[in-house]
Amino acid sequence: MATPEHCTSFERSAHRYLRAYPRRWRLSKEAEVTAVLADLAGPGATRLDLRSGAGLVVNGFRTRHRERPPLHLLAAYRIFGRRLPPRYRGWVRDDIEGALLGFRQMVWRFSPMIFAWVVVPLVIGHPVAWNLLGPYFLLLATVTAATAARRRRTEAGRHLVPGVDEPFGPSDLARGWILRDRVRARPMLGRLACAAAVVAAIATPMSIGGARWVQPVALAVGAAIAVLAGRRLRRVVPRRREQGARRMVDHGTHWDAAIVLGAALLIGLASLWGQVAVAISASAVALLPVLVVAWREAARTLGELALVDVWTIGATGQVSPVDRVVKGIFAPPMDTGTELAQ
Amino acid sequence: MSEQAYLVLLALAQEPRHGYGVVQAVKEISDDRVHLGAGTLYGILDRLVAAQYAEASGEIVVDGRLRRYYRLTPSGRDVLTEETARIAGLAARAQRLLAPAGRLALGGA
Repeated sequence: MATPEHCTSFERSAHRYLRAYPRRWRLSKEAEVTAVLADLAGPGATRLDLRSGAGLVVNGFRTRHRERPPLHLLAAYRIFGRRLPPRYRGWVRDDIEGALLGFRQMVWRFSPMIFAWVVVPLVIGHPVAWNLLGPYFLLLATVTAATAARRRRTEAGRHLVPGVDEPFGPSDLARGWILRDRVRARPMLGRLACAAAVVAAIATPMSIGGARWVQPVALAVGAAIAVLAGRRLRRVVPRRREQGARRMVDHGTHWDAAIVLGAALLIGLASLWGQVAVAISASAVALLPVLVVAWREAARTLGELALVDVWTIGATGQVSPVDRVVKGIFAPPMDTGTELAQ
Repeated sequence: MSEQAYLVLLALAQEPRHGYGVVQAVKEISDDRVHLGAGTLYGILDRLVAAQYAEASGEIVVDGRLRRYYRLTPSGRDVLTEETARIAGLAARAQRLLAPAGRLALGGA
């Protein structure tokens, strides 16, 4: 019989191949299939053999293809946001909850523009206007990444809540009152501070020579704001209110992507135009001390501090109002429950 | 219906089985001729469950491994019976065609 170490490395090996299957299929069957693979491999197996793995990959993609809606329905869903029939609700839930939803939508909705502005010029030998298209696509990508969570909620409300005359299925969501999600301050502020430092370091040398006085002034202004914000945070944070209707969440990888893309966009713009470099480097230099002080205060706070608290207290000197439950959507437990006697 | 799907239905007809049990049963029923991989097995099970010929019937954890059992539904049993009758009828016709009297009857004047 396989030892726990062998099972773990075998499971990891099997899970890599099982990624070919759709997400919800893996959620419901991964443990069961891994057990069958382990039984077939025999005791002492530390990894899945290549032939079995190839079989899983082929069948995984066949399963994806089988469950995918036909092209005309898929195009209507992607481009016009049309609801798919209930039998594709599981596929839709995978699509909405999967990574890169926004980018998949972007590719479909902007494909005519990409075809006209990039593919056609390349085919006919005309130069592509990358100095305009580059920043434009980078801006689109940054906004797409930053709004990923909001888009996911909107799409889920549009596509995953069954209509009045539709039965409730296992992939469906329900509307109801939910806790208010708030992003944790410390990780987000740390990342923003790093991005500001990188942008300041790269954009400052790109500033046109006569405007070198701007950065020291920006640093002084930023430092003054940082001192004021720091005092407010130290004074007001201990008095913050209990937030029973709040749920603290991590900022999510989409925000990491948005910060990186945004920094790349700013550096790109700074490299194109010297005057813009002055404004960008001054803004980054001014923001840096504010972000560092806010991050330090959030790190020193007992208990978790939300980003909205840091903003409200730092900007106004007042405690944040108490969050209330909000209308939202959630996945109800699929317990059949008990029908009450009439 | 493919031969592999037919053998899976036959394996479930005897008793509810988990995935590895189905693979072993198919191997035995086919006289060691058909070896199902996990990918092929679960592709067949997914299609059978979608067609409501089979259904999950419970799960247990044995030595840290999840075992989910599958069983035949009444409509699965009906379709298995029809397919078995079809195969039996085909086998009987094939036997008649291959028998010596049958061969003389086809080639005779």
